[in-house]
Amino acid sequence: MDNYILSIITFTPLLGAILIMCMPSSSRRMIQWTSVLFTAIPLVLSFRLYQLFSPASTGLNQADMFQFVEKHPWISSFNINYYIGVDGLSISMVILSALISFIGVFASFSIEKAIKGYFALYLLLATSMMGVFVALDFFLFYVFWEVMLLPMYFLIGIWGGPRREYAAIKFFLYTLFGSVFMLLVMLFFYFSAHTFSLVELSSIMVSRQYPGYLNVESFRIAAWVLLFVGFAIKIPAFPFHTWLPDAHVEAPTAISVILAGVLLKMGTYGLLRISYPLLPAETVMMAPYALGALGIVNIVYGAFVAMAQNDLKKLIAYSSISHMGYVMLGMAAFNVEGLNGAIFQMFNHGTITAMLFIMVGVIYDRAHHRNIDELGGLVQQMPKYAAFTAFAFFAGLGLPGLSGFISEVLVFIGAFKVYPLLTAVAVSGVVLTAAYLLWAYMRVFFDKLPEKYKGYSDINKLEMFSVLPVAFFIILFGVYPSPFIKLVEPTMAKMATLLNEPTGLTLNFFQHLVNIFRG
Amino acid sequence: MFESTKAILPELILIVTTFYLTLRSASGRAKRQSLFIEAMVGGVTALVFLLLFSERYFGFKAFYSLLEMDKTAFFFRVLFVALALLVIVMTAKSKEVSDYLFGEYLVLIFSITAGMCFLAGSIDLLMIYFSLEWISLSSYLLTGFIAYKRSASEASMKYTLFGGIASAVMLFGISWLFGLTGTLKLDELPTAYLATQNVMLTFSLVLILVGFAFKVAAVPLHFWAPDVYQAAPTPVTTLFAIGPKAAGFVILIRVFYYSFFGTEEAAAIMEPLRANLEVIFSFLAAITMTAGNLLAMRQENIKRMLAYSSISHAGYLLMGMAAMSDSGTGAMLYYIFVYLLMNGGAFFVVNLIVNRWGSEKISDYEGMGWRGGSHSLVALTFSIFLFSLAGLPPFAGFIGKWFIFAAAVEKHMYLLVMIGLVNVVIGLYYYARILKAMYLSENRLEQVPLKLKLNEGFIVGALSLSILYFGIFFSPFMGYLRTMIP
Repeated sequence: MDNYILSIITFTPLLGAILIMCMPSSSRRMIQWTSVLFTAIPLVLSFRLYQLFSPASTGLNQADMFQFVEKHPWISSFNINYYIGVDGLSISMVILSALISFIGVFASFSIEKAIKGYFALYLLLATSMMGVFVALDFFLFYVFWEVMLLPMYFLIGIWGGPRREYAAIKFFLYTLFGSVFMLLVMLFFYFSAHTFSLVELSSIMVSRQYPGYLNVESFRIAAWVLLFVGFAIKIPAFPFHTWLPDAHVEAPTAISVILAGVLLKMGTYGLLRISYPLLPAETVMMAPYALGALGIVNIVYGAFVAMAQNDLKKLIAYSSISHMGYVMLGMAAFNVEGLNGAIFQMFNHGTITAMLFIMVGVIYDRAHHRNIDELGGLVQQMPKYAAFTAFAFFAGLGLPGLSGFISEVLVFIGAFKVYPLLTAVAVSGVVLTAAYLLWAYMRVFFDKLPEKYKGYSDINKLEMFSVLPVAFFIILFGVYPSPFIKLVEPTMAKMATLLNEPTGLTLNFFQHLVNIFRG
Repeated sequence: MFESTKAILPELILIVTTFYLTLRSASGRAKRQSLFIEAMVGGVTALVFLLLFSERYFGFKAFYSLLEMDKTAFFFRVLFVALALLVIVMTAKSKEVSDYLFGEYLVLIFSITAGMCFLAGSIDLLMIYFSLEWISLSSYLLTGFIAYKRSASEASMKYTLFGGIASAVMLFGISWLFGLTGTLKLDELPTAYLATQNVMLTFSLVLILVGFAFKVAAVPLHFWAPDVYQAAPTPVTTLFAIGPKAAGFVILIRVFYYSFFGTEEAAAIMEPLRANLEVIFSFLAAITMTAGNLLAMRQENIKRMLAYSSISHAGYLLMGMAAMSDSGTGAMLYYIFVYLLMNGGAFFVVNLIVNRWGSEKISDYEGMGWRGGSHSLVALTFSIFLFSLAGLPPFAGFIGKWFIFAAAVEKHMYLLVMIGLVNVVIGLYYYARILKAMYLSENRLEQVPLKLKLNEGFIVGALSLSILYFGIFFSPFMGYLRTMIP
């Protein structure tokens, strides 16, 4: 079984979806607990994966350094394989994805409308997310990446808030627009190097022996830019972020959790899995601007916009944009601290935002609105809820002792070595984050309790249970981060060495731009 | 001669059925049900003969090299006959075609199918012209089939006038070609081209291309398509959206790829023309898919929307043509096959709704996914067809587009591929409008309950499952298609 553990983790939810499709729609409990079961299995197996995983292996451009590899020919004429495996980079995301999928099910228990369709789509989404993180074949990666859009469109569009139709189609078109260009890059790589295997491509590109048209510098830069646009939309990096607040505000709680917890990470994961190892020289040239500078913009701009929000969910959506900025900044540092910090921040942001969104969902279920200025004094009515939310908010603002702090510090350590000035600006983001979160907390929980909120029940056991797993990780990695760091460090150290080799590029970006437009 | 006749046995069966049905409907007393059964028997017999006895004639040039029923022709003939059967099933209970006219209707369907089958095997420009006219004449009649409908008469007239001019232009080109080279045989064209070296030869090829582009409804020769598709009875629209279009493409492939670049000697001669053809087809592809997609965005009538969408699909297919390579041609063959499945499926559903609710408006699909039972199944399969048309994995439409784009990237046509990719996004927007109506809309229109018959359920189910199948396990079939290319 251990040989096929990745396939089992990936496709178990799909099996659950098929089972649910066959159930009568009246058997509500059965559908819900089937979903719990079919997301719990991948979670348990992902811990088993962690146990079996030997952290010494580095992955990236060496095929023998991947673990739990499965490789079966799929399309022989194009040399496409069903090729999956994990290294230090992907295993962290596999665990995160399994964890968030699992707790998202509990957050979905309050769904009333057409639950059969909801949970079937939810489980399909879980499979496609997991597939993105384990795929080592570019084509397979792309297929999972696109398949993810279908359930997401319906989940936002059917079970969302008042403006859900607009939010769903905006999300759909935006993401598709980004990813179609990935198709072009993928084909470009194939017709130059005649393989879709990300590992093989990486080893070819790292050796700097560029085959075919890849030998043209400007083409490689163009490929990097096209990939970046696709991934940046997903992160979302600054000018491409406008779909996120709409999608978050309209999506049901569990889908917001998935969206912020896992889907945003796919952008940065894609960069680390594809752009970085396949185009290391180009990354070194482009990333300081595309990731470093835009990362700073994300951090500061996201924080300021979050401060101006009245809708609690929108506030957290913008805080996500701000927090993903740290990931981008860490990735742009090209050293092992920064890269470690970036991945750790991806994981921590996943757990923390998941908790934040569930907390917002709790009050939304009771009050049916999320307007900060209409809320107030809730600490008197819902003390336990106030405590849990305080925990989540403090984790979000990076309180020492909780996991967010460690990853932000790692990012800053890494980035300071390279961009001291930019990092100084980025640190201001920490203060801003504290400001908007604490200010929001104050307005929601303190002051006088309005008459209409008397009689609200406190957070219930199910809601509490659904955040406990993530809260556990937030505390654990806050005080004892080394299991995680040990897991990813060898891979990231390898990544750093790949990036620090001489680039061999001769022209600057603007000269390339001129070249590309000249054809 | 006898051998030649045997090679076209399936076509002969179609023609015999045509005459038989003419006589039957002339008698005026034939019941709809019995006509339907007789037509099915004729069609299925043709299909069986096609499947059993075609292989022997691969490589055999029938009727003094007018026809060659080779593998490509075989593929398309099977496609056309299968399409005709689907269309007949769709019309079996259709309210758009009255009992009174059902016999004549079947006659025209069989006639156009026979024409398309002949076209698929034509290797002589005269035969091509003859078959194209055969198809066109039947199409004009089928378009105006609902004679009392004003829009149908108008569309039919439009189609006839446009079509007549396009054929005239093409015939003009063919006569130039014959005057200059003295041959109409496709396989002799390259040597004749070498011997003539006249600039008018290229001109005549462009004129011929106009006739073909008209048939595939490539922009700017698409003006007839939306009106015709909207006005014709829905099963006929299905036929038009797939049949003559595929027929146009088979002949594009035959003339501009097989005969010019099929053999090495020919390719060596025609090499100077290759770049020109690539540019012409790239240009046609780019404007066809972009215009088709942009015009589809604002349509309220679902048949008209699908008409524009089929124009844009012709654009993708032309992209495969623009690649002027074996992989491009293979991609086109695969795409045409998938296009039959997904567009056939989509029109099948539209036909169901037109007959049950009498509506062609997208807004009347609102809330269809929520009414349970048959509605849910129809909405689900319709979504699969639409997602496949939009080109999303894991559906076959994605693989079709994938092969086409791959062929273009192989030839380094990056700009064209970029345009194509942007078009995929635009396409998703208007396909999603139908999905939005079916699933996202709050409106729950009360309509006549949609009771699905067993055979209808079977067809939509089989089509959607095969779309899923060919989206995942497409490798062997693609390999088979590639063996067709000389």
